[in-house]
Amino acid sequence: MTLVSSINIAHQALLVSQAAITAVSNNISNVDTEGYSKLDVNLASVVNYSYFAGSPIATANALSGVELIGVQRASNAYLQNYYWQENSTYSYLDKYTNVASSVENSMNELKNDGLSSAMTSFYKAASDLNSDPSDITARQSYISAADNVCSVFNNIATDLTNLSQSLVGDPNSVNSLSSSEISSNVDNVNNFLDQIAKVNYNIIKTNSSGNTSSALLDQRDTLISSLSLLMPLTVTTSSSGMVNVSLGEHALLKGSIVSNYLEVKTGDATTPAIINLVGKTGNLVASNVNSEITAGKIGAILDVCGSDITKFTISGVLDSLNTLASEFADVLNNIQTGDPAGDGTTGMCIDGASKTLIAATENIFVANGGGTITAANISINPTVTNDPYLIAAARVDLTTGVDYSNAIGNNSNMTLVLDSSNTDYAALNNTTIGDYLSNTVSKVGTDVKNLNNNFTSQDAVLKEIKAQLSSATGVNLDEELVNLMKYQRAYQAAARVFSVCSDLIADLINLGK
Amino acid sequence: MYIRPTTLGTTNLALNDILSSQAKYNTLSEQSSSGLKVSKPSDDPTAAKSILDVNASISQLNGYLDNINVTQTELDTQESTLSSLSSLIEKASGLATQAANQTYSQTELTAMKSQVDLVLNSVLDLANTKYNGNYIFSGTNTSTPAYTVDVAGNIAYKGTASTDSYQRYVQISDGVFVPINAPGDQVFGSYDAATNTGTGLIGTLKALSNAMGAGNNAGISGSLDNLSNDLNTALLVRTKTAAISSKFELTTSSINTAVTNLTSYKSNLEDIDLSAVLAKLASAQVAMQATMSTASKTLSGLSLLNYL
Repeated sequence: MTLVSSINIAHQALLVSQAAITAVSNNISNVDTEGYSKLDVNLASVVNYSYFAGSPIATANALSGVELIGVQRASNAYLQNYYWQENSTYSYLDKYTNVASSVENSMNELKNDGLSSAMTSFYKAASDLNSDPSDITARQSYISAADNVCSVFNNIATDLTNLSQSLVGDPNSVNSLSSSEISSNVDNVNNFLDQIAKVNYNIIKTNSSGNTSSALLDQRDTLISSLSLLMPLTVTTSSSGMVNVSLGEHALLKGSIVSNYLEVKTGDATTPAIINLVGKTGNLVASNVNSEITAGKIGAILDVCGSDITKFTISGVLDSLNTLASEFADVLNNIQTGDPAGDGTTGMCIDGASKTLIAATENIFVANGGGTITAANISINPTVTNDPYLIAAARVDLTTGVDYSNAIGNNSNMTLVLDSSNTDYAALNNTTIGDYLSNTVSKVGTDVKNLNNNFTSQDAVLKEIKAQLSSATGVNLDEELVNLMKYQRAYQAAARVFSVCSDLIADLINLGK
Repeated sequence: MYIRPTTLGTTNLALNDILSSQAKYNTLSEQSSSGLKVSKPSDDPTAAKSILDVNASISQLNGYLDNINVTQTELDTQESTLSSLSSLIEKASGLATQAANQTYSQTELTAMKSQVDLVLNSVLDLANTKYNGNYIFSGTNTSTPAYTVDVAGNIAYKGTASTDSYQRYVQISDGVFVPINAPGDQVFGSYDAATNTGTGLIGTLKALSNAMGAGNNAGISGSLDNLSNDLNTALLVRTKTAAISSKFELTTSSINTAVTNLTSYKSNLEDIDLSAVLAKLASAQVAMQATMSTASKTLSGLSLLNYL
């Protein structure tokens, strides 16, 4: 033991304290950085070796001071993986709930401009026409009420179709895909994959040069978190410190190389968007991996725009509305020009010029642009709009030979129209028109409520994991301040040792004079 | 489990707490200002369905009430017309009874005949009564006058015959359609000039007038019986009209009760209990203030920096 060795020990301690204070200051400066993992300073007393016969043997009582084993980045791989997984589910439910709420808002049923209130007004107008079947004003109100039902159907259908198209594009127009949300999200996925690969490469490079790459690791974790918002991931860490990312069985990224990119293609009405995996050169690796994208924003978009009847889908709501619109139109058209009771009677309208009854031949509802009647295209026959007398309010039996040409006060057909609001129809699952609508509304409400509940509980789960993860890796300012003082004091004490030893050596030198 | 608090974590937690207490406060304040606890279907899907159903029912019931109110006026017109008709028939009976005394000269009988003719004209006027632009005794031929007298003197019924579907219906409750008009041809009858025969009241009056003109005593006496039959027919139809009116009254009062019940049911479904919501709002406000004050203390006060 020499005084000089004490000076060396104190010197070592000064350096170590400085290094520790650097780590602490890094932690303090990143106290508000999202995704930052704190640095832990690992110190140990230096183990002294004495050399006998060429092999080093640790000698316990040899005092050689402190050394910095390393500045380690706090991490918890299990929690981190768990977080990514739950993050995907969270983002899935977030997006799903958002879209479902938009659908609910489009229907707007509890406000006064919804479909049910339009239907109610229609039947009210029918009742007025029933009271005075030859009155042109009552006929006009009846037509405008029917027109209003059509407009509400059209508006909801347009809203829902636009919503779906903004998410996955229009299956009938390939170009619309590129401006859709799923397309930009797929681009994001591919960008993130590229960036993660690049960070992986940088990590390997800095590791081999012996530097700590904790900032790069933080950066990579943050990138993977962003990626996990878009799709479900399996993340594994290789022995070299690089991560591999895969979607189910399909590897997306191996170390610094992206093996497969995502690609989105236009599908058909039931599956409007199809996700494929392609290689670097665009060669198809796996087609249609939709079923594996069960989480993340992309998963939510695929599901809500798909046609799985067990899930809430835009097309499911649209189908219900189409069924309702088409049945409503069929029922009223049949009353207008057909023989719904099958008793040989005929619906009669009024010839506007002679004000006499003639057999009705014009339907009330037609499909705008032809084809079958749907919520999107249901509209009033323009011929009837131009001549409200063409509404068949009367119904008589022409086979009896009686002359009914003057019976313009006959309102038997309007009684059928009024009765239709209380009739169960097979096409509407044996419910009435009003019930089918309120069931549809209630189902959308239930779905949105369930999604909301799931989202709320997933939000709580994610917050809990975030808290745990932050507990394992986050910065606590008080802790850092305590450490700062600790290392400051250690530095002061080491400096003291240094000056004491220096004094002693000076004394020694004076002794020798 | 021990969770090591971190500065960012604590900040985020405080922020989340503030946001969630604000969200709770906002929901309650929205409820208290709108007065509704169900403003979109997902707030309560079951209640939403019931609200839609109740809305439809209420509006349907109000429609029935409108129908009844509109129709009631027509029924009143019909009843007063039939009442005037009864007086006319009684007036004709009086003339016939007088003429049947056999003490009047032909000149006097001719004078009576002209009075009977006037009665007939009044009857025809009544038969062509219009309500709201529609001839009420023409069956479903509502724009056609029930009776016209042609140059030959025929008095023909132009409405829908009571043997055909002459009735106009009004809906007063689910699936209940009530016929409101009276069969004009049964009440008034007709007259054929070529064969000099007639049916119903018109036939009787025409026969009476002819008998008076010809001094035919037997014919005059015969008319008396017929007139009493015609009066019965008119009274019968009038009774039916009155029966429909009273049915309307009953239905109106039951619909009003139903609307009241449904309205209060709907209010239970969608309206908030204002006092409860205001109490909750007050406690949410306290909670929000407490959260904020805790947050401000945690974030600024509780740091070692304050003590170094």
